[in-house]
Amino acid sequence: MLLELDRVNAYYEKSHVLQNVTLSVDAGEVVALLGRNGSGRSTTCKTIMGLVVAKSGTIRFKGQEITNKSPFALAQMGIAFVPEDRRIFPNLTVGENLRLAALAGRKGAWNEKRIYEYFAVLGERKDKPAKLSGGEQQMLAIARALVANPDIILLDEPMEGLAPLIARSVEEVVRGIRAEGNTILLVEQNARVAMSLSDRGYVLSNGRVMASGTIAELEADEATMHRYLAV
Amino acid sequence: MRRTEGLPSYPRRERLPAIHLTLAQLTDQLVNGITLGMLYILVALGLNIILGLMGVINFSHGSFFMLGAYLMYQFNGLIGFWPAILLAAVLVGLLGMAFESVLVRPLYRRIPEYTLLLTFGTALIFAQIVRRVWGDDAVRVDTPPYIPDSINIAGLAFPFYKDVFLVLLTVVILAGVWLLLNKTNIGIIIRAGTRDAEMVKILGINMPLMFTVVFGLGSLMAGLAGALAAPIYAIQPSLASEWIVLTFVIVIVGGIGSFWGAIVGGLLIGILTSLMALLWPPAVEMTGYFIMGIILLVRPRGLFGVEGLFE
Repeated sequence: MLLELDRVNAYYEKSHVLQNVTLSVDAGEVVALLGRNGSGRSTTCKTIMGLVVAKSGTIRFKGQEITNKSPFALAQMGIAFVPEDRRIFPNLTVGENLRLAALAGRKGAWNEKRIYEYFAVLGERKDKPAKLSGGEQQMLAIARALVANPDIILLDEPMEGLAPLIARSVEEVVRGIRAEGNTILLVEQNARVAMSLSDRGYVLSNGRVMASGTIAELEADEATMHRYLAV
Repeated sequence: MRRTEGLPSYPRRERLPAIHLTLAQLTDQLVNGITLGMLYILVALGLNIILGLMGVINFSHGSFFMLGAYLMYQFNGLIGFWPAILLAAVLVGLLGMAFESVLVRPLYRRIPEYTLLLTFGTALIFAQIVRRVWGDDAVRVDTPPYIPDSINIAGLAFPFYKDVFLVLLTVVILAGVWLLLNKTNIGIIIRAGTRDAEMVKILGINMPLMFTVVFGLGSLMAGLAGALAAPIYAIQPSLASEWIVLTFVIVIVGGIGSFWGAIVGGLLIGILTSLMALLWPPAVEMTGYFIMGIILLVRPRGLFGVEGLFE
């Protein structure tokens, strides 16, 4: 397994936001974290990335324990995190945003040139300040992850807050990078979209994993789907 | 407007009515103001970059300026004028790096008041150390004899070291800092970190190391300013507190985290303070605060401040 969480517990102040979360992602897989708002999906990403402290449990990446390591060390090991609020640097140009992400990244299939070919809208604005629309910000946030050539991308709510048409184009981008064999841990509010993009899924509720399996298995489990995902 | 009775501590100076000012006097004070402004900029820029990137309100920054001047004084007799300036600046830079990694680093996770209290306390300690080592009285450094006293430009004599060399050198240093911030990868990291240091870390940059390096660079600039100022001003323990307050005023006037803000703020306050010495001496020391008051009323983020920083 590329990434494994074993009985991870995390807290915000006194509330127990991750309760014995156990999950794994294999190389080449797209795994969806499903659940309602506040079920612990984003917190799972942040805990993997060292942004939320895991009070107990272990996280392993490429066989090595990485629990509560510093985010920059995790990024250098090959984990890219695309946060839900995108966190583009508006005081840098689009090109500088990418260059910053490439600095600590590794050489590989993606470089700046290829990013600009793939995301034409970014290429057009390479030397302009990164004051972008929501959809463009998301493209740049994903591009920033790709340019580091990571082993896994933690993709947190990539379509949130986008107009339906823009959300569809982001969805196509995710489908495209999936087709190239990238490993993704995907958090997506819309369960149907998330499942259409993924190989396997975990259903979270109140910080616990309630169900897991291949997408076909989850779809067949109507009770779980209805109860936790309102689908 | 002439209620100066409330400020008895000012020495009485001959007050010249504005109409009787000669062009030479005006030019003199203007150039004086530029020199003062340039030194302010060197100190304020380091303070501003540290504040912008790390959110550290460094009250010991003025102490680094003071230490630069004292170390320059100390080494001048041992290794000569120019090496002493260089060594003093480098030592203060190294001190800044040690200061950040040992004392400031454990406090990043806490509210900013912790580092403010820490650096305020260490500023008092630095002042006492200086008193113990070099005494309460002012010391002075002379420029070496081969540096000409003055130079004639357009029929006016300007002190060479103070008003020509120092101003030109500062322009070169500022150009270097601009290039560092805008044309290098370190500059991209610093500018991005000023907006969102955590996201820079998520992108794989070793921010704890960057913080130490940048703190060292900022301290080095303060130390260099102090060393360069050593032959101009009386070197005394009160330098630290005088300069730290004024440089904070400059940072606020110019805008937190802004390169051009520090430059415009430093020149503005340097020049206006100098001219005030000519126009109305009793008001000299309040010039900076008066400008800050106006700026805060009109543009609370400062002249070049950006939305969203520390708000």
